[in-house]
Amino acid sequence: MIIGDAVADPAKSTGQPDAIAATSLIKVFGAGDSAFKALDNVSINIRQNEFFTLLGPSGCGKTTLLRLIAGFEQPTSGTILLNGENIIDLPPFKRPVNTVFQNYALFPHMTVAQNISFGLEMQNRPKAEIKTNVDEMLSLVRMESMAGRRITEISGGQQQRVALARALAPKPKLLLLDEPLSALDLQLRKDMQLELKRLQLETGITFIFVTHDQEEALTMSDRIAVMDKGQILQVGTPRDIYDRPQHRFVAGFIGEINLLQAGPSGSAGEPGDYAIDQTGPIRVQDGKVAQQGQSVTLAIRPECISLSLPAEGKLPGTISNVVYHGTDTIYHYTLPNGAAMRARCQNSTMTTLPFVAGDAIGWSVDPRSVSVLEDK
Amino acid sequence: MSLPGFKKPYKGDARHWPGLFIATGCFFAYVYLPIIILIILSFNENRTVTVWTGFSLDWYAMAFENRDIIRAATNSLIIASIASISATILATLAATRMATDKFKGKTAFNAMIALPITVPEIVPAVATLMFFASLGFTLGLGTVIIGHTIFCIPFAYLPIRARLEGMDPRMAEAAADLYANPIRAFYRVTLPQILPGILSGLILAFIISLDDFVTTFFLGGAGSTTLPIYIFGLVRTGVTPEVNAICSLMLLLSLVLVSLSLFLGREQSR
Repeated sequence: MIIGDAVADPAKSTGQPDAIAATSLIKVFGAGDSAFKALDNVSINIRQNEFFTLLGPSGCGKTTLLRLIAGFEQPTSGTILLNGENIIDLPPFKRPVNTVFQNYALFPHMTVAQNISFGLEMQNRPKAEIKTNVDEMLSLVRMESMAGRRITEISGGQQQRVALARALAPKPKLLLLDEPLSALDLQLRKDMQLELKRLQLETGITFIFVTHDQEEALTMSDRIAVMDKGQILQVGTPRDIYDRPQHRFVAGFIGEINLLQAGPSGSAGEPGDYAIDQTGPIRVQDGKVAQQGQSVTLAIRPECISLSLPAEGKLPGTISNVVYHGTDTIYHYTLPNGAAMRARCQNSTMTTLPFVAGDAIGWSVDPRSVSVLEDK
Repeated sequence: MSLPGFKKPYKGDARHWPGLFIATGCFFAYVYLPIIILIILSFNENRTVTVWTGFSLDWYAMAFENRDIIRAATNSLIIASIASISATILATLAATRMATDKFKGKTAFNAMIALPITVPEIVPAVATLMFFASLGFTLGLGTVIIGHTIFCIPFAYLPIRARLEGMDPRMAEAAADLYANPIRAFYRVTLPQILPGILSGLILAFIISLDDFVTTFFLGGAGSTTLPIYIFGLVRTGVTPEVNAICSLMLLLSLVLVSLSLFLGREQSR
């Protein structure tokens, strides 16, 4: 299954090969009855200088994919090309790829500077070059004053920076980050998100970032691949993924969303005309050629719904609950067919809606804000 | 809650059991009193071991002048050094492999490496004797060293294995990720981190070898008399304060080595 957009690919037009081109990767752990398919026929292309995120719940295969690229695991079948070269047969120490581990895996018997210089020493770089490089890295992650400290003497956030510097020092073609922020507290995590983005822009290195945190993925990534049960379900920009989920899992995993069953519209309408049972017609314009006459699941973000008094051309509903959230208010309402919906309205004095539980309302949604999901 | 017969409220805590203090006192007296008496008597002036007449270092001086004792001590140190170092090297190799590799029967292998600790020493001693005899080996220092190396391996293996198990498995991956081939990764990352375990394994193996009687007795021959064997010979003709002096010296050496081992263990956990 290859997902991705062939159109308007800037890397392709310059003739540069993809940073990573993985084809039909399968990884099975164990054998016989206890065999577990961690990756199920995964193909993915990651472009040069991209901040690419693998997003999914734990056990979805994202870390396995990362470990295959790093070389810590061998795929059961499939190929991985790094800048056009097959790296499947290379052991990890011969791959120009570095990893930032989830628990950092810093060497406890070495100082900060010794940790950072380790990769350079192993590449047998000249001493003078190592020194300049280490100093450069220390200033890049703002740890100049900590060079001589032992790993056990610095804080978690500082360890995180050292792990980054250690992985970036050999100037790898690709940096792999395995949930590197999960051990940090919220404020530090927010700071490091910006820091990581800055480092990626400054170094121009392709980053592959693994996370289960959808917000982290949306803020930092150029593109996101959403994974579940060893498969990649959708690849796209954060906007694509959020605004145009193609799959029920993707829609549910990222942000809040309303899922609605809709059938073919009774009248011979245009492609994209559907009808919600006992409620009314709804128009969808999501770029896909909708197959006529099929029942589909529609996905609508709560913030895309506008509420009003019942009126001609609006769909009906009954308010069941109103929850005030400060910046906005969530209106829970039900449709005549019993489906529960949520609408999120921003609170500004001019537009505060006077609805309370039990009120009949009308609602509408821009046809461009409705996605048709692949029902699997 | 209080039960009848207990003065203090019963909390299920061993500290509140009656007679605990006396029992503990008896235990420590049973274990350490003979040793303390032995040390004290080693400074006894009188030739009759049990009659104290005055303080003297004569027996220590005699022990150091006795060429047989010096020869036996030298043998003991040679055997213990070679056997403990060989055993530690083999144990390090085995432990490193066992910690990183996954293979069928790994648990069984692990158990088999540690098993000799629980087997009565006489069994491998006799078996090895028969093995050497069938090969036509002449018994002596060499056969004793081989025998000691074998029973020292599990003692060296366990602390090294424990240290490796306490090591983050990602550490080796991080080294490989940073362009270190397996050999350089071992010397630069794994070895420095398991070194305290290796040293404490080495010391443990050394003490066990130094102290051994059974294996040495079976596998030894002319010229391989060790201190325990020599002391055994002396005791058969009657315990002299000289024996007490040698034993005290061995105890001192063991205590120094054990303290060193504990100190290294403390260092590693920091």
